[in-house]
Amino acid sequence: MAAPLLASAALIAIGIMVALLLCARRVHAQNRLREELAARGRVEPVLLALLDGAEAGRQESTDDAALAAMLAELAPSLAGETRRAIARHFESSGAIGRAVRGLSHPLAHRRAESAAVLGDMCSDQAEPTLLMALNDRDPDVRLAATRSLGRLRARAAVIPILHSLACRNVPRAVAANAVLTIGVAALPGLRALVSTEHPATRAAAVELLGRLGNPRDGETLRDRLTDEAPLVRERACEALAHIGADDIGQALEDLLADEVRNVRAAAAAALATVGSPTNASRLLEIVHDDCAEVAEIAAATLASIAPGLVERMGAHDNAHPRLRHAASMLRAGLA
Amino acid sequence: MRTAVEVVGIMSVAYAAAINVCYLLLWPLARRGMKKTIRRRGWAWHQEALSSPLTPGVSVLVPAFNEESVILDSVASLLGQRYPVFEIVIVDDGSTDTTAARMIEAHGLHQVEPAPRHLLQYEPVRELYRGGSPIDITLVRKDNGGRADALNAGLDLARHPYVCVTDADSILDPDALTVMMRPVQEDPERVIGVGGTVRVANSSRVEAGRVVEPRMPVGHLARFQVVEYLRAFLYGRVAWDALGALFIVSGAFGLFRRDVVEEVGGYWVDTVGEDLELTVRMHRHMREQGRPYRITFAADPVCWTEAPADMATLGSQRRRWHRGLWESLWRHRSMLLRRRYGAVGMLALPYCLVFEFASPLMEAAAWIAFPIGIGLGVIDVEIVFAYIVVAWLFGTVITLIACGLEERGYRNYRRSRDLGRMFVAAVFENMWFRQLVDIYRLQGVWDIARRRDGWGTMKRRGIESA
Repeated sequence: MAAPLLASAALIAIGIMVALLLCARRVHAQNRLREELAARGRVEPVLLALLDGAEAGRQESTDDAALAAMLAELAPSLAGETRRAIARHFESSGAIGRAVRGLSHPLAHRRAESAAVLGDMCSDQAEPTLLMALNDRDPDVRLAATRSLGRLRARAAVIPILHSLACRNVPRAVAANAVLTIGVAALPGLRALVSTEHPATRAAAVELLGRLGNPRDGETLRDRLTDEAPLVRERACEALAHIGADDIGQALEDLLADEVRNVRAAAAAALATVGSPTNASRLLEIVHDDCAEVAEIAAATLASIAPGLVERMGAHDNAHPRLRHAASMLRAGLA
Repeated sequence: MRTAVEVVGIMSVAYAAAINVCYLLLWPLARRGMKKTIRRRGWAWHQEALSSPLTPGVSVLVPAFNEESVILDSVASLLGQRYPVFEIVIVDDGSTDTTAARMIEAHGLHQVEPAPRHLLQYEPVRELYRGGSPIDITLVRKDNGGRADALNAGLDLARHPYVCVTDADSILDPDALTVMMRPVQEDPERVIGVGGTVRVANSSRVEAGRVVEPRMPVGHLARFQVVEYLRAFLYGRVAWDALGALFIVSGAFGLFRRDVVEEVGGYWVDTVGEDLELTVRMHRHMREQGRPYRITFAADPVCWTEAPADMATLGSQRRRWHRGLWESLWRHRSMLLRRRYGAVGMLALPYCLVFEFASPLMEAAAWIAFPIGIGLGVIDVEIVFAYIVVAWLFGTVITLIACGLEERGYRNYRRSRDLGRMFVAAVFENMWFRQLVDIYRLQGVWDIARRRDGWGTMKRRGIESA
């Protein structure tokens, strides 16, 4: 009986310890929350001064995190002197130096935290270290560094970020968001990458050029409609629709016969934005496409570019169900 | 007789030891997984995801059968989601009440011609309504065919590449979709399914379709389910996910890549455990095709649900779950202990069979063998007592650790008295609630033997505010 007794005693002790630990954690967490609120109160004047673009007084290094957290919510929408004032503040307080040193911490989560916080401090001084962090062995550090480079609007980071994306070192969504945050400053880099050798990089560059570019990029993007990689053709359709390129109806119509369904779907969807009633007859054929999704998009596009035709054709009882659906959507004012 | 009793007694002790060892082995994985989840919040990029034009769309599927009392609150909760592109698809599965009428009236929906893709099998769609602004709402009215059938219809009419499945009586946290989509955004090529955390909402403060203050439920039965869910999700699923062997994406709150669900044929309608079966089938399909994939668990997104507050409803639910477990195990029995199916075939499914499905049978055998053994003088009463105490204490410690994970990661129950209630529930859950659930699961085994099917009834009160 000694063993069960011993086991029971040990389990009771562990149970009590876990319960006590939980209570202690609760007290500790409440204290920390109070401290955080107090820190936020203390740094509020500093924050207001920085937002006015003025020099702010020094604060305790322990308050850096509170200030960075408050600025994090605002930093993406700040520009000009305000950003510079924020950067100067963090540089002079030594916070940038500490965070940069944090990027060489042996623990991955510490490096990731440092990489994340650097993005909110608006200082260009962090860029070289963050660029190096794009090659960190830990995916979270790379992710945080990419996000921060975007928030810092680091032009020099566009190509490294796109390469990281192509090598799958960082998630596509994070890398793309970072480039979009960098904004038009990323355009030269993107244009250079549109015809790069690596299909994934080309696809990413085409997609982002569509989001950031202008109709003058139409020619470059149009060339990608015949790219050998289906993903690039698909992204080129979307990109051309986004920039509102002229005279691409026929080129998109040709892609409605593409062997890859995603390309056909993207071409049909793009025609809704840049197509015209002249594309209607080809789209009517695509309503019968084997791939239901492509047919669905074609019907919706038809409703958008040739509503009269869809209403007429969809009114027949023997009309294709997709046309009847599109016509009823038009009647309900939902197309 | 003596030998048989002796063997059963030894087997019961060995079984209890094995199950506890399993729990112990899962603990470091759960701890590590939760730690990682908490740390990663520091560099979360929700804001970017929200404002990005590249964020993929999600169709939220809500099957509804006679849900007139909760449907509008449910939709209100979904409309409050902070996610850039999503639609709500309510599938009225042949309701005989005013579920559809309420939806049409409240959201000004217009009837349109249905144009299903017919990629999946389901009962005929009778009417389709669309509308809603700025968030698209679709109402599908179809013949009754059960939850899985309704979900297949919803999948077939969904317009976005990802589908989030939830219940009409559930409430999603406002950021639930954004957080749920994070694994997808980080690894869109491989992630085909994401499970989220389901929590008990009974007695919590609900305002405008949001749980604004989680509280421990007033009734004991629901309280025990709070700690049971914490253990299942924050301990069990986090750990199984770390092993790459998440065998269930909960039907109350799960996200899937639509094309993969269509590829595997959608939900299987001949089971009451369609969520478990679909998850296992997706694993099987991807493994057999040799395609890289991940079905993962995200602990942060939360779906609040109403837990059964009376024994009859709880019994019906647990019997159904146990039947569903068996149906999935039986259908995919060829995956068991096959290396080809990786950790799911080698670990998760054997665990489900031995420690989930067989557990009530083993416990029942022990409860029968121990008194007989004591009567025959084969088993020492002190040993039985020690066995019960150790098993109870061990279960309590595991549940307390799960409560610790909740406290460390979320601190949802802010009131000190709720923390106290959680402790008490953790202690007493292992005293009689687990045994009660085992009785229901035994009844589930009996249902399987009698080939009984059907869902039974779920008595709903609606998630009332405290």
